[in-house]
Order: sequence, then structure tokens, then C-alpha cells
Amino acid sequence: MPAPAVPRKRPPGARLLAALPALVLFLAQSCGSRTGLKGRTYGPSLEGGAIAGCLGDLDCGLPDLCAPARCVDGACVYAAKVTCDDGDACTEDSCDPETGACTFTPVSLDEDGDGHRGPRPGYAASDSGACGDDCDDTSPLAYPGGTETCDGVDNDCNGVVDDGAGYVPTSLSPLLVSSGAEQAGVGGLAFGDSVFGVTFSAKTDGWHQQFSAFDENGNIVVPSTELTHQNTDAFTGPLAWTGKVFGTAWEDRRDDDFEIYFNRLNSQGEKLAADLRVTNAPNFSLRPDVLWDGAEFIVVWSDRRDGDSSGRIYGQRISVDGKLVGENVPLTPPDADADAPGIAQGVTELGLVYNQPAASGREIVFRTVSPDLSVLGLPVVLSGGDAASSAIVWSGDRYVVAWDTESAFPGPAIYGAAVAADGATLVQARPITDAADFARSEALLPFGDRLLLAWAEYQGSAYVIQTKMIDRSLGELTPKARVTDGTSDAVSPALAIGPTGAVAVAFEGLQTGVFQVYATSLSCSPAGVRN
Amino acid sequence: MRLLGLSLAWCVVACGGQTKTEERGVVGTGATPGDLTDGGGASGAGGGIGGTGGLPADGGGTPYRDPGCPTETKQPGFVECDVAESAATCSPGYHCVPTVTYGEKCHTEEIGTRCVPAGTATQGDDCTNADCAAGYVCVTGGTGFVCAKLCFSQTDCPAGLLCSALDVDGYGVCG
Repeated sequence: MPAPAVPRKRPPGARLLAALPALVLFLAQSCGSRTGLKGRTYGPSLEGGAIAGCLGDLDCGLPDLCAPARCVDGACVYAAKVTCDDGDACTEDSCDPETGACTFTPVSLDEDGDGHRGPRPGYAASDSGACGDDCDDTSPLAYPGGTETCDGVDNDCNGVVDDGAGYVPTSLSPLLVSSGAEQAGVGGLAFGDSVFGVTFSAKTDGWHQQFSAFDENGNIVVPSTELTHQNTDAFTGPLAWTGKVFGTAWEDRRDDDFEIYFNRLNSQGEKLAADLRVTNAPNFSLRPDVLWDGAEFIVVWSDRRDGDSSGRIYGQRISVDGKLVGENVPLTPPDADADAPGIAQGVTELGLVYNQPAASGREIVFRTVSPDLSVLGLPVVLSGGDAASSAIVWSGDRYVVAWDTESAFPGPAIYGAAVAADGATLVQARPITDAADFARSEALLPFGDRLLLAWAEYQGSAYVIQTKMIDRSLGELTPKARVTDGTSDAVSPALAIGPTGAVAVAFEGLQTGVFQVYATSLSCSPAGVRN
Repeated sequence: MRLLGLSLAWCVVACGGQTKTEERGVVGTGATPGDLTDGGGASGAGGGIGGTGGLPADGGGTPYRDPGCPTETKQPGFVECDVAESAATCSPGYHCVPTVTYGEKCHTEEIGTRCVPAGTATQGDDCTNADCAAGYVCVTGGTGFVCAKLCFSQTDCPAGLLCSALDVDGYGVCG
């Protein structure tokens, strides 16, 4: 909401000379009027002209070397204002009133030091007026003219990551991530600062949000680290990397009911501030998703502050240094009973997906949201009934959404659809995996022109994690490949890619009879999807 | 999963659910954003980063030491019945479900049981305005509030469903 207009104050009338300093201060705070002495005139003569009736320079206004004024022989003499204009639309030009010097500040920065500036806020790197052509200003490995390698980065900024590569399971034994926990479940997975960071719920003396990290060789480099230290339960949430720190949100019961909390972590899993309480509302606030949009964190979650049957998706902006920006913003209508949000970043907008009641079960809904959460696109129903959890990513020129179905039991396949930035459906809902006894818990990793899909499929007597490459039209590019051995249940995969092209897969496995968090990996096959 | 208002929340394996059978403890005490237990407050709008007024935008800075809470032994909540012996410990037409009273500040949850009316809704049925059948509890796991079968191990669930932890210690639901 814009700030209310402040009535412009006319300069006051005559004042005693002794009142001048206070008078000048007052005027400086109210619109920059130059003087309050009676009889002054205002208008074009302020620049380059002279007005009678001053006793000293201060009477001609605060010292401002950008618009110098002096009292000469009882009259204010105004020099021409300094004009700062370097003719470059990609700088903000200003004059320093203390020195009179011009400064030209770039409107975009080269944050990653690769010699290419990122686009200015609200622009894509390829846009006219973007003032920067770096498609990924968080990675020094990505810039126009770069050489494409298998590293999970769009090195040449052609919109495609690791052009033509596929990803195949390695033979490495799964790595136990949640060591020390009686039981655990995956929250988020992200690569940053040479490690794959994982957030997970771990049951120790109670349930706590924990962090662990492993390297691309499958070595634990940060053992399980407890992030919540209350005597009440907290359950894990996703993880996002800014290029410098991780951000994570989770559901926490320290305030009587579940509230959403947030914090930033370094790559060692150390918190960088006190936990930030994101919600302060009655009833449950649950299932957060977190996005770093290049400027701010965006957190979305399911919220029942309006009643058990009035679930809504809310969002919150959080600054780079971990402070709330504005308030909780409802992103769905009060009567939709929305649940389980996911969010992804497009070029100029965000894509939000969630489920809501349908004629039969629940349906998947998509809508766009502006990065400041103020403008909502029209909701688009993507699925039929019985839809359950979902995943959303931006890939190249579209949002791709995948979801599973469930009534009393999980459905037989994972479904998918694709939506343009304007909300137009590009690919109608359809199964994107072959029918199985049951299929659940999908994850997507985008590469621009194709995606890696991971999901859990019931085979014989257990769920196994499967992966395959699909194109933007959701067609299959590679046959499915098993990531886990099927000797025990494995579900809830999460995906992230590292700088050598290795894709980490975190999942929940029942090897020991209780669920723990494990990780395994896929290796990059440079020509994996080429014919 | 999490239990609903008298409801559990179910941690789908990874804790995706909450039950609908929590005893809502001391509700509405008006905790404010700065009224936290993690030391230093500073969690609300404008809350500081470790009270320092903010870190540089590069995200560096000294890690924050979370003072946490002194360890507190969990206390049992009110136990009205036995979930494993529901029919024997509740009146006809009622069944036994776990409950949780959430702790505030640094206090622990209290886990108990209650007899609640037994309805006819079963696995996957909406329970926002309906009662779950005996052996099922109303939970939220990402698709509104639905009934889910209580379980204590994987063998309690049919093929395709997994016994996932509930946010009420010691209990799980099939999902």
C-alpha cells in the first residue's frame, strides 16, 4: 500500500532570527523548502537567480553543493543545479549534496564475479533493458559464451542445462544421512558451497528439524545438526540456496499450535540468526515451501487460521538478511480449503500449485503470483479428482507440475501437466509414468528443455525410487531406472544437482525397519538423451 | 501427519501429518513474534539477526548460538482409555484416540488418550465434519483432513500404505 500523501506545508511566516536553526531543520524534514523568511518568492528564479532578503548562507537553505546557494549582499544567489547524466540507462545517476560530485550506480550487479551482470529486478537476462545478460548470477560458471559441461549449470546461457545429458543411477550404496535419529523423514535438499545440504525431521528426544550435508563423493561432511532446541516438536521443511546461504522453513509447535518458522544457515548448518517466526495465527500453519527468487525468500504454506474447513495458502516475503518483508499474504480464496502448496520461479512471476476439494477428492490448481505477492493470476485447475501431493518447477518456457493421486490408497501413476507463464495450459494432465500397483511422492529437476522425474513406485512388496528423463511436453526421453534396490520401502525422493553433474537423491528408506533419511546419486551421462 | 483440533497431524514418514485430536492445551495466550523461547526474541517483523541489527547482504557473519530450552522431562497427559483396547475402555459408540496437549514456551507436549464418538468414515474419507470409525483418526497430511488408520508398525497397514509417524509420540497412521 502506498504511503499516505503528506500535505505540503507552506513555509511559515516571519520568525525571529534566533529561531532559524530549528526552522531550517523543520523545513528540511518537510519537503525541502528553502527558506521561511517572510517576503520570499518562489519559482523559476530559484535556479540561477537571486532573491533579496537573506542574512547568511543558511538563510538560503541547507548547504547543498548540488544546488549551491549563497547569501551575497543580503540576497540569495542560486547557482545552476548540478546535472548528473552519464547517458547510460543502466545506471542510477545522482549528485552528492556534500561534495557536488556525480555518482553513477549500476542498476544491476555482477554478484558471482564472472564478468557478466545479472538482469535488473523484474527482467530476464535476455530482455531488452535488462542491464545484464548473466542468466544465473549466482554461479560464476554460467555466462553468455561459456562452455557447456556436465555440471548442472547452464554454462552458455542458452536456456538448457547440461545440453543433451541424461542421469543414470550409480552403484554406490545409499548413504545414511539421519544418523543418530530413532526415525527421520526428508524435508529439503539443495546444493551450495560444495555440499549437498539436507533438512529432515529427526526423532530424538522429540521431533526436531535437523541439517546434514554430504559431498559429491558420498561422504558426510556435516553430521546431523539439530536446528530446533525446544522441548516441543518441530517438523522439517524445504531448503533453498541463495548462492551464499541456505534458507529453510519448517512447522514448529513451540507456540501452542503449529506455526511456520524460518532461518538461514551456512553450509555447516549453523543458524545465522534467531529463528524467525513467520506466522502468528490461530490453528495450524503447516507444510511450508521455500523459494529464493534472486532477491528475497518466498515462503508459502497451508494455513487454517480461518477454520478447519477454510484452509488457505499464505505467502510471506523474507529479505536476504532474514527479516520479514510485509505481512502474511493470502494467496487463495477463503473458501477454497487449499492445501499443500509448492512454488517455483518463472521469468517475471512465480508459479504456485496447491490442491483443493473437487467433486471427487481433491484437484490440483495452478496460479501465478507476482514476486511481491500482490498480484494473483486466475486459478487454473490442472487435474481431475483424487489428486494429492504435487511438485512444480520452471523449465525453459513453462511450469511443469507433477502430482500423485490418492483416495483410500495411492493411485497407479504420477500425472503431469505444463502451464505457460500466463497460465495457459500447454500440456493437459496425463499420466507420465506407466501404471503400477501404486505410485507416490514425485520430484522434478528442470534442465530447460527436459526434466528429471523421480518417484516411488510399488513393485512386488515394496516401494522403489525410480527416475527417468522427460521432455517439456512430458514425453519420455529415457526408460525408467531404479535408484533403490527394492528390498525395503523407499519413498519421498528429493533431487539436487552438483557441480560435477552428479544428481543427489535424498529419500526415506525402511532398511532398518523404521524410516531414516538416505542419499544416493545419479551420474551425468553427457549424451544420455541424444539419439 | 498432524491431528486436527481434536485432531492429529500425521508425519507421513517424514512427518507430513498432524492429528485432529490434540487437546488444545492453553490456547490463545497471544504469544507475540518477539515472545519466543529461542532466546533473544527477535523473531518478528524487524527482528534482529542475533540482535545485531542485521548481517551483511552476503549472508556472512557469526553463526547464531541458539540458547534453546532447558531439557524437560515429558509428562503424561490425561489418559482416559487404551487405544489398543478401544472397545474395552470406551463406552459403546465411542473409540479411543491419542491426544496431544501442546507445550508452550519451553514446556513439553503431553500425550494422552480420549474416548471420542465413533463414526463411519474410514481411510481417506474427509473428516472435517465427520467422525472417523473406530481405529481411525482424523489427520492432516496435505489433502485437508482425512481419516487414517492408526498403526504401530508396518504390518498394521495394507500393501501400498505405509505406517507413518504421527505428531503424537508413539503413534502412527497408515498413509
